[in-house]
Amino acid sequence: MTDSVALLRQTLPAVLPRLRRFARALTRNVHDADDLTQTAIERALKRAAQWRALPPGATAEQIEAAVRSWMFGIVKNAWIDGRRARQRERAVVMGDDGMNDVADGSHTAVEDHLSIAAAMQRLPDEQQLAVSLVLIEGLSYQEAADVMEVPVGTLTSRLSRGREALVALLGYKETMS
Amino acid sequence: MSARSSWDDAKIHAYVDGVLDTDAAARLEADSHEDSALAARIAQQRELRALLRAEFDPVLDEPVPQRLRDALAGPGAGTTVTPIGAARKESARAARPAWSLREWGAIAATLAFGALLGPLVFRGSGGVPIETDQGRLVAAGYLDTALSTELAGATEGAAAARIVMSFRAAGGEYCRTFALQTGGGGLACRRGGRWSVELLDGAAAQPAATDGFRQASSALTPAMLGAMTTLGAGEPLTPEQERQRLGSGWDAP
Repeated sequence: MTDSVALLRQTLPAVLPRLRRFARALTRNVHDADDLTQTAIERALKRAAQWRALPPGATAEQIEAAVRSWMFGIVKNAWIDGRRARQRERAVVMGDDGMNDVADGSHTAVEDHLSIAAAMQRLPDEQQLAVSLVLIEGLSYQEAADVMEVPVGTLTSRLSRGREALVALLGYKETMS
Repeated sequence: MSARSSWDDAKIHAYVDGVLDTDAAARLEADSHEDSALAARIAQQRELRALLRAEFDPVLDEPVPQRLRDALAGPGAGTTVTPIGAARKESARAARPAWSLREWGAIAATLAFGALLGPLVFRGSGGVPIETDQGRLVAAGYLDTALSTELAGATEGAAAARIVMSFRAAGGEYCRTFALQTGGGGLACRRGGRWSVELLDGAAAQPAATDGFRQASSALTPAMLGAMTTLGAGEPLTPEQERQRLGSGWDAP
């Protein structure tokens, strides 16, 4: 399906800045974020034929929105794959079960100021995704649920827990009463 | 405090996200006027949203790295992919800020936003004059009214929101700076039929009513001036120009 490849190539440049932002919210630094974005682009072009065609007469905006959602899903899957691979590596190298982050989190949660980016990294994966898609990318609950491939109720519950966790990590609890 | 138990986190989050149904939203707003703990919880969530956007929105304005453009072109692709990142950077340099950001529905990425939110603007009993609309922060309630209908410096007495000055950004849109009686102030630009709140600054002081324009400078904080520079602010609108806008609307022609 060279048509869908061509359409993707045509549409992706407009979507790229948002993919990079989404990736940045998921990873620790620019380099990791762009690695993730690059992986997603390569996967997307390989799988362009799977991309479900839009009805004829779809506007440029509709096409862009569809490409965006699809790409968010690919970024999400690539990110989860990468996390799992790294956890496996760490388990082999360090003989642990990948629970280091949890210990880190409980330790630093008592510090006064955690940056918002650092706080994001402390969230469980599914909460980090929910917060990124809704609060940073501005997706509706339904759109975010579609990208995460979960029911809306699951999305909102993850989102709520993620938000409250961030508020706690940022130390608001002490300054507000 | 009695109202508190009826508002769980999920409802507050839905409200902040603009998806709580209108009746419930009105009740929540009413309760928040009397329940400072509730108002604080709402403010926390708004601030969280704003912090996240302030942290990550600047990514939108970065040039897209060459390797990503190469990945997009793919192996053996005959056509060159338009380097939009570079193009946007160039347009920003040419004193035409990268307000193609609008198409992402984003809050002004380059504005110093996050650091300013410490002293919350949303305190006191004046309600919460900012809401979300499709992922951006927009003025609501009395702030929206003031932005649309008040002349800069003209409001007398104990106005909840006062307009400090108006200008046109390099992108063509009209923007206004404001000060809130409850403390703090900010900058909003007219986009997509709403007043998009670009900057909130807890340090802004409301100009004394008796001094009007003369004191207006105290409501223009360094952060606001920085934001105005970023927006490519032109000359402040004259009272005549402002009246014209009040008559025919603030949407960019």
